[in-house]
Amino acid sequence: MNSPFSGRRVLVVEDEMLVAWLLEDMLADLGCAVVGPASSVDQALAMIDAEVIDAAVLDVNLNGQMSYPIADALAARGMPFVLSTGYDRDTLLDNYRTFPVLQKPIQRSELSDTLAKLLNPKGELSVESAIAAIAETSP
Amino acid sequence: MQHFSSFVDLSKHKQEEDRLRFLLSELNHRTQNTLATVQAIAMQTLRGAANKEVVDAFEGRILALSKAHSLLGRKHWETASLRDVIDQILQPFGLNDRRVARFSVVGGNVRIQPKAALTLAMLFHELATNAAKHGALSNGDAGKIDIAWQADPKSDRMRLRWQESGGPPVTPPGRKGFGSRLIEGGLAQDLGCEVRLDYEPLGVVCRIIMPVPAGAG
Repeated sequence: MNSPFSGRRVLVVEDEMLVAWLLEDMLADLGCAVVGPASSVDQALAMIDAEVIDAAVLDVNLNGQMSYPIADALAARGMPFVLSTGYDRDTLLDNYRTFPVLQKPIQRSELSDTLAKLLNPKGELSVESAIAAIAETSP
Repeated sequence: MQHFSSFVDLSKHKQEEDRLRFLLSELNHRTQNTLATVQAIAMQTLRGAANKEVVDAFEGRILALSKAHSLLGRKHWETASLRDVIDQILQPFGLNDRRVARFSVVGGNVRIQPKAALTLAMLFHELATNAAKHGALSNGDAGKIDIAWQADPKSDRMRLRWQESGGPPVTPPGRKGFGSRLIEGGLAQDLGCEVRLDYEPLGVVCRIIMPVPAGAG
């Protein structure tokens, strides 16, 4: 499948099974390879240690357990992630408000826009920019 | 003693207020999560069975509903700003697209009741979806949508107009869709609005005259 996200490995952390499935389907439609889903902090931390991950979608509240330790672990490894929540951004702890947030229910277009920013933070993800980059590095 | 007792009352009042705020925030959160689950169940149920158009239409409507809920939740279900409703709903349709200006949104600061906000959110979603399929958002960058409203302070009513132009020639649809039903049932009957949806050759025009809270705009 020809997709800008082909083969990118995205960790899904989500405690609600149905929503996790939906995310898996949405990410697969975008061409991503899904890692997980993890439904608890411990499970997610183990996956971060064991797996190759390009980005993560992180539910803020996992069965009453806040997922901030996962965010810290990802940030420490320089892995980009987005927080997903049914709450407002204001309800996040101060230190976490600057991270990207996906409001639940998650919209396909917003997921794909956010992933594009996470996986290619330097600029727009486009064929033109890729060609320009190749042209610049070619002798 | 008088001072002391009023201090106690105040702090109790404050506690009660905090508790209500917490409960309301929790309720908003649960509503959003429930809608997320409805979205997920629908996608699992329909995956492979229904065509993509049906699935997208359903998902779009659930998401529009959830955005209106989220807006209202932030204002404790009192009122919503009409402009915020329009912003939220039209954003996925390219409202803030910096490449090309498809929308013109002009109107004063009008706050509307929760029920009106929900119905208008759904209506704007239907109009925009229709525009993306058949109307001013369906043929490259040529089409445009003008949205304008004005509140009349004397009558506590507001006029709103959605006008498309630059799209392909318009032909009225053969059967009544969800949008028309929403207009006739939701807006006209529930909210006491006067609504007209015209399939004019140059573009769809929807005109609404609706009651707004006193002093709005």
